[in-house]
Amino acid sequence: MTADSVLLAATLNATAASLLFVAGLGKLAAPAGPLLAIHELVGPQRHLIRITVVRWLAALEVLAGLTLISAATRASGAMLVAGLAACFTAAGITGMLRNSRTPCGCFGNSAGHALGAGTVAVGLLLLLTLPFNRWISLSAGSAGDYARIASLCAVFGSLTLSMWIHRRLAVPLVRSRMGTKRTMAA
Amino acid sequence: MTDVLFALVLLLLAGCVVLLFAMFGELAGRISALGLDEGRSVVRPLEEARIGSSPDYWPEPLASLVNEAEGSALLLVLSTACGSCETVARQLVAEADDESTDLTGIVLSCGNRLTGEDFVRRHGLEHLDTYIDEGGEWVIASFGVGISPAALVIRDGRLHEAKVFTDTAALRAAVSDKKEVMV
Repeated sequence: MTADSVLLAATLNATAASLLFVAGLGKLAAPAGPLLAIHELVGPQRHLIRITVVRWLAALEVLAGLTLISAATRASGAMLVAGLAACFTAAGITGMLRNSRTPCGCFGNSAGHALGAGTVAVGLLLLLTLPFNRWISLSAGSAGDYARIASLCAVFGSLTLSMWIHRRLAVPLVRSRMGTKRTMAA
Repeated sequence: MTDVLFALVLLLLAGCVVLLFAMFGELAGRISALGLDEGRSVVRPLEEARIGSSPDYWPEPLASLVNEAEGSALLLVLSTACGSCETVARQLVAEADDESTDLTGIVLSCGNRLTGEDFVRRHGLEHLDTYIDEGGEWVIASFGVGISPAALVIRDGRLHEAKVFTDTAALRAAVSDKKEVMV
């Protein structure tokens, strides 16, 4: 087992974990958006889907992300991720077919896109974690290195993704501060 | 082992930052939807509400309120977690003697029943029919309304009109204007 494969496995799994962390924590913070989007999809059966379902889904996403960080749990974690990814893909396809318009709040962004092509793309990308983790094998001695690299990459990935999703909040703050500095310098 | 522990702590901290960002995002979305960032009283249609829908059941005391209403009843959706709802609650107390508030009920969205009861007691809203909706589940499932403060006009047991608002006087004016036009 080379250091390159540990790095490759840790980086790719951390990318998937970052997506799942941000999606899960976003849903935990703002479950109403995803609930409304799901209600739009299921139509008359919407009374069966309650806010608790969204919270459980969010918790499952965070758990799935965590399992990818550890070498010992990544194989079973990849199965959980694939299960979730299949659900996302199905939801995206249904959203496309029913011309969904409610912002899904999938990443805690209530002004985001509705369930559709984007959801299908994320679902298909996450589905790849299953064959990838079956294909790549890590030696017992590399578990520590894997966990260290994967956690650090997941930290970097989830913070960057979160900043990108909420750039509407961050950019004006940064711009006004830069403007203040320029004024002071003048 | 220490390195792995350190990495996990870092991951936990990153998770907290992501959660904080998501909460700020939600808050900014709500403020923007209400028009509070423009600093004026707002009454605006609530687009995501499912107009024409009727709930699977009417909880008490809203069931009596809706049954008593020959024309339409007004339900105000408030939340214990929203700043504007505190202002609206104070406005409701100030207009307690106004007869036009007779057919007004409150759906109070809250984390748990105790928080809801405390909100009602603290603001002296006992004179209004209030349903404490834990987690806002009933109002979301029934009308697709996940924002507060919101006003729901109920006619014949169905959602006839939904608005977001920041001021009860402006809301009542907007609702009565509509009635006059309809007559």
